[in-house]
Amino acid sequence: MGNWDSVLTQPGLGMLWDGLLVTLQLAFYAIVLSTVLGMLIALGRVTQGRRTAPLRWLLTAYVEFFRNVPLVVQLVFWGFAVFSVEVVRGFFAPLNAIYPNAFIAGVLGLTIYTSAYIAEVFRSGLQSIPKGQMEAARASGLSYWGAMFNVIIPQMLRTTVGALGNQWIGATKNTSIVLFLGVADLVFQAQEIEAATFRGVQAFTAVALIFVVICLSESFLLAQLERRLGKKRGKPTTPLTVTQVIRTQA
Amino acid sequence: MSDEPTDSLTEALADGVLSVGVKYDTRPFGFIPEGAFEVAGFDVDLARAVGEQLGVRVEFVQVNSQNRILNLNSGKVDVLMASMLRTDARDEMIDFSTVYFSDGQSLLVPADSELTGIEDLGPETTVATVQGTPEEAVLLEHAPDGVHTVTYQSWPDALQSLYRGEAQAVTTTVGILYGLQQSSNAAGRPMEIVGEPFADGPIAAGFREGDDELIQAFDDALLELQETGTYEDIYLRWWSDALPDVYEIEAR
Repeated sequence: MGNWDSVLTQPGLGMLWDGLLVTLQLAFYAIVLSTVLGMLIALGRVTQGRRTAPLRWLLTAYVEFFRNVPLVVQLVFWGFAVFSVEVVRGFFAPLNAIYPNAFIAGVLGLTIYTSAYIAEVFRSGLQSIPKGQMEAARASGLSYWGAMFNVIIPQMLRTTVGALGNQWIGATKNTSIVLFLGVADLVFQAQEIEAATFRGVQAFTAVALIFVVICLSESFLLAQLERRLGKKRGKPTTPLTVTQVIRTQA
Repeated sequence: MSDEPTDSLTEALADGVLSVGVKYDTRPFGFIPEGAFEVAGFDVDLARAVGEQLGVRVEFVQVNSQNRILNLNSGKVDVLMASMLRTDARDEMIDFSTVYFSDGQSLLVPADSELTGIEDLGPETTVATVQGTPEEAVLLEHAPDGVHTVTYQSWPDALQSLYRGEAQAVTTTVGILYGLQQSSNAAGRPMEIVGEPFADGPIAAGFREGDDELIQAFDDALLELQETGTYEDIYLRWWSDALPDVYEIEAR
């Protein structure tokens, strides 16, 4: 493998550390925001009735559009087009003390792109819960949203935790594309080390290992969540009975 | 990378083709002119002239600041004429021809900017550069402490950061700045190159280590083009406005 000084001594080590902090922040914001946004979109898409039809149509258009345009195109659009508008820059100006606009554009692009995928995960999860669950919950006197939050969503989360993990890991790896906007993430710093030392293999190997550690940590977190949701490993999930739900409500 | 000594000259003469890596987005060194499909520029014209001198056809391959040395060492191109500064760090990886163009590193700012040179930079200013180039390190060496930098993947991207206010200046060699200024002025965004150049920028062609016959033939061709006046014609075609004093190529 040759000489590892380029990543184990300064300035290379410090550059990778700086890049790691940027990557972690990008991933954290993108994951939290896109999970919340994805949940809201999914809830909107499974509403019933004619009154909410325009909402469903709009959310479907959103999901299909942002799922089907390459991420790099979306990021360049946010960073180079949207942020060239004075009003947009003014809106985000209060944040500029902490984050430059390129970082904000990166978080926006990653969040919107990932939220479209997560919305699909949650929507299919919600629609896979048997109709009888909702009917029984409503018959026991819960409101629609009460039934949604207490009966349907907990079951949905158990079935979708694996697919959600895939999206989190995807979002983490996709942070590397933000370097196109001039954001100095881990991959960017690896390229900097390569440009300075012409020893790119070591820098990229280090970055690969760091990404594996980050993504494994995320999987571990989700496994904990899965356990919290009461799923025994290797056993199929058994939906809570309505009686159990009512008992926890009482 | 193979450790066998390469002899690209013999191969090029046998095939009748020499592949040259040039930029496609760096006016006036190598770029696609408005409405054209063929790459043009100072590097491009000079490469063609050298090819004629050697009796081979030149084939252009697009490279950028990040991948040019990789493309050279992987054998995708035999020569780099890609607005490339000759630096000690690069000299350890590749070999260079004699210098065929020289200018200094300077700053490009919007016409209404209050910046007049490198001494005006500081903690309040951000300067844009491109990844894979030494400009950022050179700037930090010469500029007042605390100046911020932001790094993009191409010079047009760096230029556009000035439009968005993400950076207040772009720094690179005057030649590239001049090209950016032309593009920007044409787009209705007037720019100015300000201040005295604060570092030398010797530009040379790059070759694989030990490709000595080709380097020698290349150097001879450059000097021959200077003798016949062809170099001066090409120089003035691209630099008569920005740097009217024709550069003098020296034998090594």
